Amino acid sequence: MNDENTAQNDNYDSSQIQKLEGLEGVRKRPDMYIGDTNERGLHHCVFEIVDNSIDESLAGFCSEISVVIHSDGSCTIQDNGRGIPVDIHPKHNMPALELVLTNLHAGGKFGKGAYQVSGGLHGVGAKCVNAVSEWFTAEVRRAGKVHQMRFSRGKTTQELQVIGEASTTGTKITFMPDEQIFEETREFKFELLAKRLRELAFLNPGVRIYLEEEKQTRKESFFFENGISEYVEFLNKNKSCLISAPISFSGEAPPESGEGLIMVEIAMIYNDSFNDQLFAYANSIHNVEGGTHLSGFRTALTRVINTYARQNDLLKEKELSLTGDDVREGLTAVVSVKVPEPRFEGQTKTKLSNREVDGIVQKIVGEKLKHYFEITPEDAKTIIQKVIHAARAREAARKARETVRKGALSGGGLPGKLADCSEKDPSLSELYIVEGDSAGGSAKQGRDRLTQAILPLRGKLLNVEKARLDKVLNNAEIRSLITAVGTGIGDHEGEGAFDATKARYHKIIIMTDADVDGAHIRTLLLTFIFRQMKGLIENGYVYVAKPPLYKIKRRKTEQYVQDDFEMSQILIKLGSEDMQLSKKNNSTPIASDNLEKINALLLKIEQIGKQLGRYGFNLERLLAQLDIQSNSLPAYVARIRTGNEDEIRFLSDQDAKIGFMQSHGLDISDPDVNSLQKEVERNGVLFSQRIDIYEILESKELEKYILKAVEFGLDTDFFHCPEPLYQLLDVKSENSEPQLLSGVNDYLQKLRALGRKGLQIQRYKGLGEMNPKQLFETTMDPTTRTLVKVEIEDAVAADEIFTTLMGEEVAPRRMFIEDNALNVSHLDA
Amino acid sequence: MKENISDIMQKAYIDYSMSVIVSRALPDVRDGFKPVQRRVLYAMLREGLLHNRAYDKCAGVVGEVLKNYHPHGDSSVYDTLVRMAQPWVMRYPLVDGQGNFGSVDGDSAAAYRYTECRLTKLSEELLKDIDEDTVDFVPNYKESSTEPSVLPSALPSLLMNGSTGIAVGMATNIPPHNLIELIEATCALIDNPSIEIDDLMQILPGPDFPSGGSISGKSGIESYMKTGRGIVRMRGALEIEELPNGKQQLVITHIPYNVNRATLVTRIADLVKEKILDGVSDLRDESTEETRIVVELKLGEIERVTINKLFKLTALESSFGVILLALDKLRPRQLNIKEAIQCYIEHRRNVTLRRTNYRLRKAEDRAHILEGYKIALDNLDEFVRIIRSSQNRSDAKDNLMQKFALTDRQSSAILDLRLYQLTGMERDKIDTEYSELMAIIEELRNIINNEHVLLELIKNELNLLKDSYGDSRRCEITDFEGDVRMEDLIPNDGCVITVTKTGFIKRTSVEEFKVQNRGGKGVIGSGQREEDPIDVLQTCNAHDTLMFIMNNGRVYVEKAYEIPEASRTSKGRNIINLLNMQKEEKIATVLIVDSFESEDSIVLCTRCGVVKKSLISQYKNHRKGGIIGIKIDEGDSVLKAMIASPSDHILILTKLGKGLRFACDQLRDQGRATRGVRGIRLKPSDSVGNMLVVAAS
Repeated sequence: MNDENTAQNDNYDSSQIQKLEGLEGVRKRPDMYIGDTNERGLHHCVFEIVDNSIDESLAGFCSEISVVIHSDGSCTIQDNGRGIPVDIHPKHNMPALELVLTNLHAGGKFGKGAYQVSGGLHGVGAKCVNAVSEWFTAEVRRAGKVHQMRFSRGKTTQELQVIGEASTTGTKITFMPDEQIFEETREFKFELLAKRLRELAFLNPGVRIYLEEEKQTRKESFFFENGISEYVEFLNKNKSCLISAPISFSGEAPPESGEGLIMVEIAMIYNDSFNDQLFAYANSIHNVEGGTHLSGFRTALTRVINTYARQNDLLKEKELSLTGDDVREGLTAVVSVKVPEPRFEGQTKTKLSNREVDGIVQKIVGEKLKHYFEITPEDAKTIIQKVIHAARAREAARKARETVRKGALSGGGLPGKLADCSEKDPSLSELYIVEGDSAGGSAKQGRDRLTQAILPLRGKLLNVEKARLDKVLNNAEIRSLITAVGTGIGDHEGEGAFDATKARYHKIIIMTDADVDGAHIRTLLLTFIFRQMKGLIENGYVYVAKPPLYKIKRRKTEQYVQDDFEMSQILIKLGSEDMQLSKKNNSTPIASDNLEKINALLLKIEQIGKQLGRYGFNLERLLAQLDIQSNSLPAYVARIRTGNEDEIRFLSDQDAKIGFMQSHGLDISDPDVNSLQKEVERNGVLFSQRIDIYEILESKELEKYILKAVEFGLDTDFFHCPEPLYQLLDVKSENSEPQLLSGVNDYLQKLRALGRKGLQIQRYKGLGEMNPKQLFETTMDPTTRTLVKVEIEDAVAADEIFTTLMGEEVAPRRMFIEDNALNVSHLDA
Repeated sequence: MKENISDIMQKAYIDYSMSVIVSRALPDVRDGFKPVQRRVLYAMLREGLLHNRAYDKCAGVVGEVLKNYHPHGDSSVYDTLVRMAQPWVMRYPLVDGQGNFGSVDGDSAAAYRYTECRLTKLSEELLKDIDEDTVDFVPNYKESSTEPSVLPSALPSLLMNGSTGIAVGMATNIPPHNLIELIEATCALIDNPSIEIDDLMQILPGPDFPSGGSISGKSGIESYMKTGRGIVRMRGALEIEELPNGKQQLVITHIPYNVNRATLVTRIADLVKEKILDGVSDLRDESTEETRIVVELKLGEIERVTINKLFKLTALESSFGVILLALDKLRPRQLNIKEAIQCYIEHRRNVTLRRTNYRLRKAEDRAHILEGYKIALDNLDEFVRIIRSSQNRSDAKDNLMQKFALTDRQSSAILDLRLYQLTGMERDKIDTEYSELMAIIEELRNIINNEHVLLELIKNELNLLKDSYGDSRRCEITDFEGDVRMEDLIPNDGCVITVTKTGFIKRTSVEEFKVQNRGGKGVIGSGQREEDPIDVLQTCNAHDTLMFIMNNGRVYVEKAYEIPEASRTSKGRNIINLLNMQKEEKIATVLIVDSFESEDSIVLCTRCGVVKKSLISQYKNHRKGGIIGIKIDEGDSVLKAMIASPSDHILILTKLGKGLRFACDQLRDQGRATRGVRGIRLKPSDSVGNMLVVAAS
């Protein structure tokens, strides 16, 4: 304790104790009474007076209130209530009017004689306004006369006097805010007043409230017959609501102790947004912080919705109960209670604290809302579905957050299975997602540990297209994937949401086995990434690795082969060594360098031919249609599927196509029409017939290659003749028989068979078959590997593909498979 | 390199799905096996695990399959093996298992290091002749050896044991059938290729499940036989036993196919606990290998109610959704029963023909050699001389071929003869063998050249197998008994129906209202909301039908037991939740009808005095969405409806106190959706206040 303090302590005696007389206290500490001395407090003064008028209307004596903002900065509030009493108060010996405007804790709202319920309760409101006014005039029309009194800064400046006759009753108060108190602003804002007055009009249906601003000659009147129900509609003016009209109900109950009735009025509606708007009022006073009425409403709402949802099987037994947050998503509600003895926290009345209100509101909401749900089951269902949806979304978001956060907490946060790289810069790091632990092991040992991280995933990943998000996030493999990538997931906002900048790697490489199960896992992984981490693809972070399919060994040399086509090329090359191709009865073989070129062309032809499967026929059938004179192939094909039958009709050109279309009843005027589905009858059985006409896009290209092959000395009849006209002869072995050839496929197959001789071919069924070093060399070595970057060319089309292939609906998937089934590059043995 | 995500997805997905369809999940129509099953059986054959040899470890089989044929997980192989050994899964088990192979309670088999197995005799029939060039062999996955692309399948295995598989975009689910019936049907189809499916069904009436029980109804069977799809309803079997203390007990002796017994018992126990199966006093699972689940009933309980509940509420009645889908020429195809059998016959023709050709080749080969022997033995001395004078073997061969018309192979064979074979007896043997061979060749050629001989052969082989493996039906096919109706589950007790003005309805048991003496105070009968008095009070039985006649003339019909049951003091539920009501509809009257076949009529009366009478039977075909009971004029509404017999009289009273009475038969019966006729002429300010039906006397 220092000396200064000691000195002060010495002086602290009774002379230091003051009692502020009259309204001086208010002027000294205005914040305690009107909140603050800024804009809010200024407007609060108007509301204090208006609230008195509203109290008057609650008592049933006032139907009109008008508020006028004068040009000089003062404000008038006038009502048509009973008027403040003006007779001399027997005990205090002054006019009641003066008493209530100058003496704190004087007023008509303590006993229940004048007012059953009221917003004012401490008997301080009007006095405070008086105290903080430069001047303050009260005019009371009562008992046929107009009485007037004037005050300044809380002190009476003009005693009560009668200034005229009056046929009506009412109170009119005009005041000028004191610049000594309101240092910052003394200007009344029209919008601020309008907002509150509108609110009051909503809360007190039947009261007409006028607001006028002299300076700008603005005028508005508020009058709402349907009260808070209209209020709720007003609040949802530009939103789309889930139900056609607000749910509104009211009820009343006596408080446990005390007299009178507590009246409860509630209106609510749901819109499709995610935010809630809850307004709680006690005796028309907005309780910004809520209070017991709001808590009662919330409790009951949550309970009623849960009970209804469970009873009507909208919420399954196993599912978690809906929380308060869920039931409030998209909710707009106005809770208005009228309490005889309201208790608030603080004079600004931001929170209602009457304990009994909670129970009463709960009971009324419980009963009435349940009843409403009972008689309007569609609305109930709509609302509950919205709430359940909210609950699921919330749960999903929570899980996502948790996954991210858990990661952040538990030591670097990475799943145990992740073998991370030492590089911390994402742009230099790569993540390999590897199918199965067996391959994971190889990858881990073989990788470049500086930049390459390995995450092995076991088994088939969950199909996220079919599973609900909460199930998805419960899946261990997916969780470790999310944590490893580090971006979070989904398109929602807030913590845990997807953020591409948090990606821990700028190359995420899907490395699965080269078999069909690997293909499946690839689709599953892509589905997850596309649905939950689309940004990764958009940023170009996602890649597919291309592990080799074969290893070939010839004597001492080893070679890896990427795919079947490359394998084919190699085999053909080896196979055609020392081979001669000639016409059957013609001994002049095709020159060997020409043969090499021809082989390359034929391979291309074979490759193109494979794509023909999607039209429903193969290369041989098409080549059989080759017109030797013009060296042309059919330009169109009609595929006619009747029940299980599949018929192919080749159409040489445009004319043939039109002729066909006409004969089958297709519209030829529209160039986009090229398919038809109809029912046909055969032997009394109805079949659905699908006719599709395709342009054979490959024909032109095939013609080109055939022409080239002819230039190198191969005749056209090589291609289309079913009888073997050509032969293959081994020049090295002396007594070998020439092999007869029928067509392109036969020729190439024979060459491949020859090429295979003396060759050790190992086909890799899985990555685990490779040694770590081999895996690195073939697939992971940044200098030599091939990576396919995944791109989204057309997001809508991609979305559709994912829905078709991975979604719930089976029929479209089956259709897709049937229509594309023949276009398959390899089948697993 | 870049690639569009759609293309990557499509390519990868098609690869996967086609592979699953063509070489994983679907059985081949010819032998009825999926690749993994075929591989297991073939591997067991190659391992020599025949039915008359000793069992050997399953691990060996699994290892062999993985090593040579099936490059996938070991569990899928072992699971396949185990399933083929389970007699409650396979109507005719293909694997003979030693050790714990699981149970119908869903217990899984012991690990493959414990269990042992071998082929059953029957499955050897499926593999028989496999080495006689009957089927194509294809290289195995590593091209180190070969495996059969299909089994010869001397029995129609696809339909015999059925198959189940889920591929992509399609699935198959084929029930097992009885072998005798199946073979007879096959023979019938061979005899008459244009036989109708209806006639086939006379021979092959439906599935035969290994679990026994019964199949209820033939429509599902007919559907899948004709289209390849249908739903077969299976029921378990139960017996009623009397106990010495007068109680009865139900004993479940068979459960439906694919039903897990332990789960079934748990489910019954749960229902007993939830008081849904309230007639049950005890539940015991006394099953050993034979199923015996004892459901003891309370004294005096009607067994039919509990039995019906068991069928309705538990898996004791289950359905089997047949999808007869199989790979035909490597393409999935949904078949009807005739097509499926046809495919099998086609396969057998092919197999038998190939086998015959093979045997012919072998026989001719041998005959060729024998012919050489014969020449040699006929000229024995000359042969001996030539051989003795030759320098070496090839010289001897050349010399022989020069001297006699022998082929290369014949002369080689002669040179390989042993000395003892030159004895007289051996020479006779060669003669006999030759003539026998000639007979065989004759026979084989006959088969090849005559289709009907081939078909007879196929039939004979099938019939032989039928005699050795056929057994009688285990699963009885009964007529459809109809759905278990709600009436069968709910006792027809008396109840009180109340409806309040705002539409709250409930059903309360009569027992909640106790009989009071005259002057008794009464009890509260409704937990009504304030100002919501009871509008309708009716007593009826739970099986009665309630007709709700609405103010706008619509009629809704609902069973009394559908009305939510509630206690005496509760409010009930709002009628909106019960009926598909239109907007602004109000109940005018609730009528109780016990039968729509009655002679009685319903008389409706509107506020404006229109009356209408129509027979109750007119309302028989009611819909959930309500039907029109009377066409009502604009501004009018239904006041009341009552049931009247032809002899009754009708009394109409107006608000202003007028009244009239007429005999009911004065009103003609009208159709349902009609307007009615004038019942009373009213003054403009008057309206009908009430209508009553009174007995004529």
